[in-house]
Amino acid sequence: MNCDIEIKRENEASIVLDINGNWLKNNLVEVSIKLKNISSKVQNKSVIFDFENIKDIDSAGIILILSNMTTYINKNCYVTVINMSPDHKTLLLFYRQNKVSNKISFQKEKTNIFYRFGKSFYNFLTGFTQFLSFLGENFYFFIQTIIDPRQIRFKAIVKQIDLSGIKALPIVILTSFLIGLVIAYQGAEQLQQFGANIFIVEMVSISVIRELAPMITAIVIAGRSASSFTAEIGTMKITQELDAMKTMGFEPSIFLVMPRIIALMIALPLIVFLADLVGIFGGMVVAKLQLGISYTEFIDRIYTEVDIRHFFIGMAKAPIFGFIIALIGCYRGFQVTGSTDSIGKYTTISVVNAIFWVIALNAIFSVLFTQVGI
Amino acid sequence: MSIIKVESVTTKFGRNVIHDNISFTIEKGEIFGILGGSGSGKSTILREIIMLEKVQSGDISVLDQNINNISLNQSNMLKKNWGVLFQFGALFSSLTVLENISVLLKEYTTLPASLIEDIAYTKLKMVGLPTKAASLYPSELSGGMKKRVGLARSLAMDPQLLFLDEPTSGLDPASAESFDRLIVDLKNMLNLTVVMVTHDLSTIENALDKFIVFHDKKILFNGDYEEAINFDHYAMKKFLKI
Repeated sequence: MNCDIEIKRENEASIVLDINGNWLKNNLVEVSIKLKNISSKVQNKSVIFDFENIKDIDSAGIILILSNMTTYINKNCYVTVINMSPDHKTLLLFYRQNKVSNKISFQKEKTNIFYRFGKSFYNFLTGFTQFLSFLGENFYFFIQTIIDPRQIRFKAIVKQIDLSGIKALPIVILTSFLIGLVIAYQGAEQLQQFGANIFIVEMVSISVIRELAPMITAIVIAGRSASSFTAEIGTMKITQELDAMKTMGFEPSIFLVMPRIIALMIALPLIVFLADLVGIFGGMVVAKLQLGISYTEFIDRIYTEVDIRHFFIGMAKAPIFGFIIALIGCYRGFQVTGSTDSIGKYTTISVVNAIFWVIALNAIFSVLFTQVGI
Repeated sequence: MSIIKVESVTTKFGRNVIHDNISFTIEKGEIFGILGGSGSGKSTILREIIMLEKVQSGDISVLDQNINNISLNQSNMLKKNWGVLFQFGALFSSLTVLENISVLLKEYTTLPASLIEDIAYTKLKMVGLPTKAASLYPSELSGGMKKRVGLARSLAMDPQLLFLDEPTSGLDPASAESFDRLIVDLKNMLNLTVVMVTHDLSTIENALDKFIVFHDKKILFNGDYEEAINFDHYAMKKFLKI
């Protein structure tokens, strides 16, 4: 089943190459090296390819011979083919006819650091203006739906609350329980040293309801929903569903973006409320097991010592997080273009952006509220 | 010599019967058409033959191998004997045109990179595409170009069998005609056996050697174009617009 090439006869004027065996793509590696070696001996000679002993040849074999023929011809050789069967000859002629000599280069143009820096800054600017126009467009349609509330897609809103809110409950409950547990557990160690066991109540309650529950919930929802919004809208864009909607006069902003934004702005505060309860419960469990503070003692102290404003600050942040998550998720979905891998790319960007902005906004609020003194 | 044998195949999706005990054979060296109205199960039988869909009942053998009870190794060997062109090309969107064509050669052979590149360029020209298309990505191609690249990719390993799913749908008449001619030329040149699903009348008339027509879960007709225009059945007349 092997193939080979040998120099049959050789003199100053000509060289006869015996092509034998099966020239199929699975065993061409050795002969391709041999052909290359022969090319050093052919200068100014007449080269004759003798196909008398060939058994079988496929496109790879023929193209290998053809490209070597070109090399030989460039070395001022006269190339001939003898003893070739008609079938093989038609193939040879067919592939010679389709041989491409002027290949194109795939190399990317080299750029210097200034070019790259300028380009990414330009991209950042255009991206920012695009985002602003997306925001403006949606604000316009938001006002329009407020003026004419019949345009609000209530069914879609309810469906989105179910998909991104209710279906997220198990994971949110589990995470916030664990967060409450961990905070209390680590705090208990320290507080015990001072004999200030009871302060576990303030520590757990304030940190959970003011900062941790809203932020952790928002991060979980960002991971779940920002990604699914981007992937859904991106796929709709690739399959031209968005175009179809536009031609029917269904504004994607009203039909797709607004239900998602409203749904998250409604769902997130409710989920955060639940996360508050579960997080505090996590702390209560540790307080009882580790510090011996009973559940009633714990709850009584919440009533007397923990100010209600902490709860409201936490709750106030929730719809803002919901807004930013849905906005980023939808915006990145509309940026998807053409190919399937751009869905992956923009889904990744969307989740990273959403989580970043949740954390950044939380930090801003934290400083802001503390400065104002609430 | 028959290259594909389909024997008493029955296919159901839920309670919906698609094929009711159908049989046909495809001979080596012919361009064989699978015809029928929308939803008549022509793509389904193609998917069963190329092992994308499991055969529910009946036997299909390709190149003398029964594909119902075939080991993973055997099926991988068998798959190297055929190339498939999907309806919309199904090109890998993260790869350039040239990479799409050479991906099989890179994966399954040890040929030097320069030779693989030569082969890919030749196949690209063979299907009638300009050299400068080589560096483009599938999203930058028109529908017709995607099909041609898909054809070049399916021919990369010199298969003896070529499956085409609606090769001319979505092409303008001139491109469709040149695509048909290309298929016929390639078949004659490379000794291919071509199986295609189509409902393009000019393809049926100009390219197909033989075809079957699905109607009402059964094979209504099996023969060539001459026989078909003399075949007296209302569904057939409607289908061929005669």
